Amino acid sequence: MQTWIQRRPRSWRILLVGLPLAMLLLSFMVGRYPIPLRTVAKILLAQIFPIEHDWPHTVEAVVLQIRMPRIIGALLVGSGLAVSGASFQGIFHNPLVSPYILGVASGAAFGAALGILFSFGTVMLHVTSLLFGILAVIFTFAIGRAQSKAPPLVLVLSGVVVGSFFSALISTIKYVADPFEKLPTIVFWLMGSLSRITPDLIAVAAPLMGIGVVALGAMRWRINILSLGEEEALALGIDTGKERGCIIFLCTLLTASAVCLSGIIGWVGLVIPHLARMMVGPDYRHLFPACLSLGGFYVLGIDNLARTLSQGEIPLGILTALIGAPFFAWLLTKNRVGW
Amino acid sequence: MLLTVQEAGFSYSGGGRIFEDISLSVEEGEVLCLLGANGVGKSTFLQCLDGIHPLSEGEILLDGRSLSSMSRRQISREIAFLPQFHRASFPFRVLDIVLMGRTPHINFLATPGKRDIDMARKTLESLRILHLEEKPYTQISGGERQLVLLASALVQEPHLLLLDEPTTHLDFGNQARFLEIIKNLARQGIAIVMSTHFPDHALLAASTVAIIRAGKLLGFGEPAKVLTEELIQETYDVDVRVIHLEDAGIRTCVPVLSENRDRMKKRRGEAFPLEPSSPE
Repeated sequence: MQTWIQRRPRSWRILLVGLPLAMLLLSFMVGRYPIPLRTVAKILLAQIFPIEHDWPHTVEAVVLQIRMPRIIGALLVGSGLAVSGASFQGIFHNPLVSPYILGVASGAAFGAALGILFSFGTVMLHVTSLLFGILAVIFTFAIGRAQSKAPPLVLVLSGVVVGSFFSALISTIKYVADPFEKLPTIVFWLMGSLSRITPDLIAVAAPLMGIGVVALGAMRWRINILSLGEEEALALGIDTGKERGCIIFLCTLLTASAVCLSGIIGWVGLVIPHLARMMVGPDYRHLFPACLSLGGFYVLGIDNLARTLSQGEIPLGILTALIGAPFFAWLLTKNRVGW
Repeated sequence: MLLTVQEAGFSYSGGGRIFEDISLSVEEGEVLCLLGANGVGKSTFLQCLDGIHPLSEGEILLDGRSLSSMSRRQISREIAFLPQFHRASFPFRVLDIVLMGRTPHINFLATPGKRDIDMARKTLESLRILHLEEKPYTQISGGERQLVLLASALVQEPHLLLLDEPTTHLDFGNQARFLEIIKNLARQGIAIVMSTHFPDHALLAASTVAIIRAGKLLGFGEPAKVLTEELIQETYDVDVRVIHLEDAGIRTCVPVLSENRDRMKKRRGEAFPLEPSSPE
């Protein structure tokens, strides 16, 4: 069975670049205030080229101040979660793990909820979120490790244990939070939403996630080797302890930043890597860009639905699960997952 | 001497002693076969030879350098290791699996280049499995998989090749073909250490043989001299006959089951009626 990339290397590249770009333009157009493509294109181009302003100021404000941060946020969250899910699956040589299943997302969410509770600034919010995310993955790995060789199932189970422990801590925070001000913020944010995104949140998250993605991308061949297994990687000259630790840190950084931006958005980190693997195969040299593209495309698309399906706003986490869970079930029953 | 093991011993941190006081050496172009019953620590010993586990006692010298002073990357440029079980989680292409063997020779953050790809394809061709290059590694047969892993080890350009029971999961014909390949590699100057469950494989392919029993070296030397009926019997706790096929210059080892033993005793009794029966 050849993968798609082997049969048509050029068309997949065009598609993987084209899909997110098309979705990007669409995202500027749709919403409570529809804007035609021509105007969107002109406003965006006017940022670089001198073009005569023949559109109302409110339209420009909608495009640049309201939709732009949100679109950047969606791309960051989608690409970041997909890439970190794919990398986690590789280094734990386990196709069943994701930032969510390993408990990282819950840990990071607890850290961020603490931040909201104590009204931390944007930077501190990221720091606590990252700290607790790392703590969670250390717990998960330590519990899995205690069971001799950490077979895939034990790792998933210990992730569930750690995840629910941090969920309980989150519930504690909700319980003590001020019911009129803090509680609704925490609850809505936990359900996963991009509506809280502000330019200064992006200003902190984007460089962090940029570093994470570039560094992980640079290590894509190492992730290939680590995905073979411990002994194999050691025999090929990989210092597994250090390099795995480094990759876990980068993945946790991406997950924690994504959680700070949008709360817990499940399924992206599990489903997108599988979808990408079906399309381009397990080689991280191809899988990595495919996850970047599809992850951004998926969350951007879902966010467009969240903004347009109803008068109010549907939390993103609900939609990604409503679409992601049945899709994953279909993958499982069709036995298309290929591991 | 390429590889020298001096009074090596290993225990797990929990206290379980696996082996002790093993001394042996391997020269370039030699095939050393490790024999021993299930669970005597052959795999652990091989892992120690690759520096995956540090020794508890003794020392391993590679070309005169202590293995414990070398980094993983340095070791992997000298030694290639084929573990016994390889469970592939992801369906990599065969060519990609082979390319991974180039990792010790490419820069930390780089990916394999054209030279590496050419080398991988050439190696696949020399093992006559180039036609598999685009296939997913998870969908080829066990024999093919073993050859692919061997190709991956060979592009590592090792001076020493460690093989953990490479023939165990192969059928009869593939076992013979694999031994042939091993002998060819040795002729090209690679030193090979392989563990095996079959004394016959040592008799066929090895230049030296080492027998481990109860964590100790029971015998080390030329296969024809070391692999006597008594020693094999002691190693595996089973009756055997070693037969010399003079026309082919081959020795082979056959287990003797209880039924055959009775028959042998009876025949011997007829031929030498005065021989005392063995105590049983």
